Amino acid sequence: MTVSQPDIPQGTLDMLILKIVAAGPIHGYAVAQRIQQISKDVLLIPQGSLYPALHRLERRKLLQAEWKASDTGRDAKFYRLTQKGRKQLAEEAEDWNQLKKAIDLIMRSEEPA
Amino acid sequence: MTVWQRILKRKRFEQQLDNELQFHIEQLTRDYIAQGMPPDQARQRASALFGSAETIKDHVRDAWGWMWLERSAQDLRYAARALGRNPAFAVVAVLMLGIGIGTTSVMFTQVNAVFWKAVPVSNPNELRVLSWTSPTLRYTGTFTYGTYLKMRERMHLSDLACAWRLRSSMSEWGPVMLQLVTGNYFRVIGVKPVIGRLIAPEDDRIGDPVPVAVISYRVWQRSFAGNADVLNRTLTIAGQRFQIIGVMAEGFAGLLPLEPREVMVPYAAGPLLGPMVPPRSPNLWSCVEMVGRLPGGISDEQIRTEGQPFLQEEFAVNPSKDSKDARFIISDIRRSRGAAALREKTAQPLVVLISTAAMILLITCTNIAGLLIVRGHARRKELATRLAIGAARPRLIRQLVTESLLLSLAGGLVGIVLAYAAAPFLPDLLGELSGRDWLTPALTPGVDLNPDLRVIGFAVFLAALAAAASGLVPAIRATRIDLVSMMKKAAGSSWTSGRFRINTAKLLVSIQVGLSMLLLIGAGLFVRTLLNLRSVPVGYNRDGLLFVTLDPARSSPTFIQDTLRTLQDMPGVTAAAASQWPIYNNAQPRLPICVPGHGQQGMDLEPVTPGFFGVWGVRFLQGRDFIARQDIGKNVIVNETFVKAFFPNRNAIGEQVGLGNCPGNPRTIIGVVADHLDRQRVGITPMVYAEYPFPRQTSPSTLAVRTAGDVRPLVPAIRRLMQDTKASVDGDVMTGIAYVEREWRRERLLAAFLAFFGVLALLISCLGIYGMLAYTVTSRTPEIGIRMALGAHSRAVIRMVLRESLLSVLAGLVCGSLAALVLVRSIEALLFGVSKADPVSIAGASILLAITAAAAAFVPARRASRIDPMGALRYE
Repeated sequence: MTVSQPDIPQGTLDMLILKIVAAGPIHGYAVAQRIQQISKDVLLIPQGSLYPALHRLERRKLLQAEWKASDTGRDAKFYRLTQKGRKQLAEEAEDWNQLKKAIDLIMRSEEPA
Repeated sequence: MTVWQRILKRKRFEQQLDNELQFHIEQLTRDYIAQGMPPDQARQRASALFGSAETIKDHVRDAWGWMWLERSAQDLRYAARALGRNPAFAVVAVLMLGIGIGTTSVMFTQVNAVFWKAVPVSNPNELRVLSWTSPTLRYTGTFTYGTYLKMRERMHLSDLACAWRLRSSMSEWGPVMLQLVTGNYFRVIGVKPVIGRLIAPEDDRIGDPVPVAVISYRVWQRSFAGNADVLNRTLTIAGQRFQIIGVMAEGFAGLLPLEPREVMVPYAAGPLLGPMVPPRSPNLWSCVEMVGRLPGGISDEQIRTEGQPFLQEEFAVNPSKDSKDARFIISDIRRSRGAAALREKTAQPLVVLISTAAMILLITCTNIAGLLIVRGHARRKELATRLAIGAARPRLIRQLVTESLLLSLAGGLVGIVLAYAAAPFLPDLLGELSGRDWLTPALTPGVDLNPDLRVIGFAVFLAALAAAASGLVPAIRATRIDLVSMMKKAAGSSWTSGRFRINTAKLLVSIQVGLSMLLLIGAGLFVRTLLNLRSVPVGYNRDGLLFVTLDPARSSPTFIQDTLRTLQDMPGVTAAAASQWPIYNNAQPRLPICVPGHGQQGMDLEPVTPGFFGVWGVRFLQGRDFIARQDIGKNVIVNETFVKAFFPNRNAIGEQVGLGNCPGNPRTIIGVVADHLDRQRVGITPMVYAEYPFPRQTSPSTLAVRTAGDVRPLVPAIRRLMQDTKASVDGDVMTGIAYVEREWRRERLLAAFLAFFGVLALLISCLGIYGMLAYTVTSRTPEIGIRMALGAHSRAVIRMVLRESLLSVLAGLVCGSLAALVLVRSIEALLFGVSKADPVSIAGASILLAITAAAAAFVPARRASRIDPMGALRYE
């Protein structure tokens, strides 16, 4: 854990959560694990912001929550993407792609002499 | 999801949130164990990594918008607990705030009635009053019934009603004020009945009227105790029985609040009232008040243009000497003379009253702020502990202010209850303040005085303001704690750390004393005004004098003569006389009188019967009184001021003056009488008296009766006599003293209220001084103990403590006096015979305050002098 970790850009945490949840019902702990795994330990979600973010998305009706047994047998709160959440994810992904392309274009341009 | 549902779901939510976070920690622990960590360490590590679960919970609650509710509920619980620990303080504070907010709300109720509810009808913004004016016309121009009918038919108004206010007439209830209204009147102005029904078009058939009457809510309550049985009752006016069919909406008594009409009958019923209405063609009856509703899309200007030609039609049937350049007027009812007159007459005294009430509230807030500062000192250990364990200072301030808010809201509640409870016991404030001229006898203005939502909103606003005013500074003060030094001093009883707070407390005492000073000086000014009004020499003998005021339109000269004769025959009566104008009549027109060498002068011309001066007790300086019927149209009597002004150092007897424009009708002066005052604030002016009946055949309206012994038993006897003869009595029968006293109602009311407020302020300030000194003594106990151990006398200690309060009281006295000197300018018009910097009021208020302050300070000073030096040192 000594590797320097980039901060998650402002406003993208919600999008990342939506993307992970889109794969199917999942509980909060697993969301954090998946983001860490998929990003190959580059992105670590600050523990303090994961749950507020999940609840914020739930409140905005982008996520729907349900209590059911986890693989350990204990009841856990599983989040699922709503129709509205799916639309939101598509929009944010689209925005993100454009932004990424634009930033890449600038970063790859010839450096001035 | 509503707030309430949320609160219900609240518990479940907390449970689930807890479970969710617990699950996370468990998973994390499991993973650590899977990586080979010992279980204990894994659990510890997981919890640590996860961070503060409480903070996360707070953020999650925030995400749901619950934090605000959560914190407020917490603050409220905390505040209630903190106040509950010191119930005496809470009760005193709530009561003081209640009195402050209550009195201010009571005054605001009056302001509310005058400025927002003066015309209690539906949609007053659409109502228009039609009248006319001209350069020479002194009063509002009115139309006749015939013209009204034409206007109603042809003008573009939704509807047009007309009313004719009559003077009072005797009924079995005593004098009542009547108004004739057309059948559509109530529909036009939109007033609903409380019970029964109001006058309708079918009641109002010219030539075939239905004898029905509606009464005001006030009369219903006063004379019938609000009993629905009133609908089976009749009312006899001028010998005619009227069936009571309904009660008008509360607060409504016609459109002129200062000329309320408590009984209304159909316009067509005029002839039933006998001599009240001249038996002419109905088309020539008067429409004193013409009111209509403006339909949407029609402008005032359109109606004005439409109305102008009706003036010519009006003057064709009812010629007026003021018809030249006459203009048609359409005015919004809210700006018409009724509402405007009420505002004009009551605005200034009301401002004085509400400002004084507001000052009481301010004193209360200052006082409570002082008490809170003292409390803050007592609680500094608790606050320091909370700060030390990480409570944020803004949060602490919020909690302390929540305490003030709780106190203020409780105070506001007490205030509103007080305002409602006091309403029936209050004097008729508006009636007393507006005063009346001779046209309107003593009646309560027709306005709606019920506290409404605006009043309640005002009280809540005051409470919030009071919370901020009394709570903010102490809260900021109390949380400004130097933690380090606080921790160092175990007991925390140091005197120096309180120095800062004591200075603030002293400043607050100064403010209280200053405001009390202001109120006491105000009370002094008004009390002295009243005393001055009472002590002005009037030049006639008020004792044993009775006045009967008559309706000029309804009393013929023969009637006057007969009544005077009957009165003179009554046992106990020595003489009776009549004069044209009532005393204290400010509506009396000035007439041109031609004085040789001085040209034309405007002055008062008073027609009187022979014996008038004897009855009033006015001395003759020269010449003789009128002799019955011999001096009519020939001779006049003048007063001393007249002689001084126009015939100085000369014998005026035998001189000639001309009545009317120069040269005027010649009259010879046959007598000079001593000056007598009949208009208090105007003073004495030149007067000319002519023998009644005056050639123009206007009837006298005031009978003066001189009695031999006690005047009071005669009042009911004369009242009965007036009822028997069916005379129209206006303003009832009154003793000379009562009549004059009635003119000072406004001054009396202001004096009484300011005196009350002044004493209240004095008491609250005493409490403030006491609290401040008690605190000083407590925090200086060790110091005083050392002084006494070193040999200080108890008298020296008392002096030392008193000195502590001296400066703040003195500063308050000086500032209060200076503020009074500035503010008195705004109430100058309400004062009489006192200078703006009245030394008596200022000195009186200072002495009163100084003595009371010393008394309040003495109690803690005495306690200080009895401190046991050993005990005090141990305390340290």
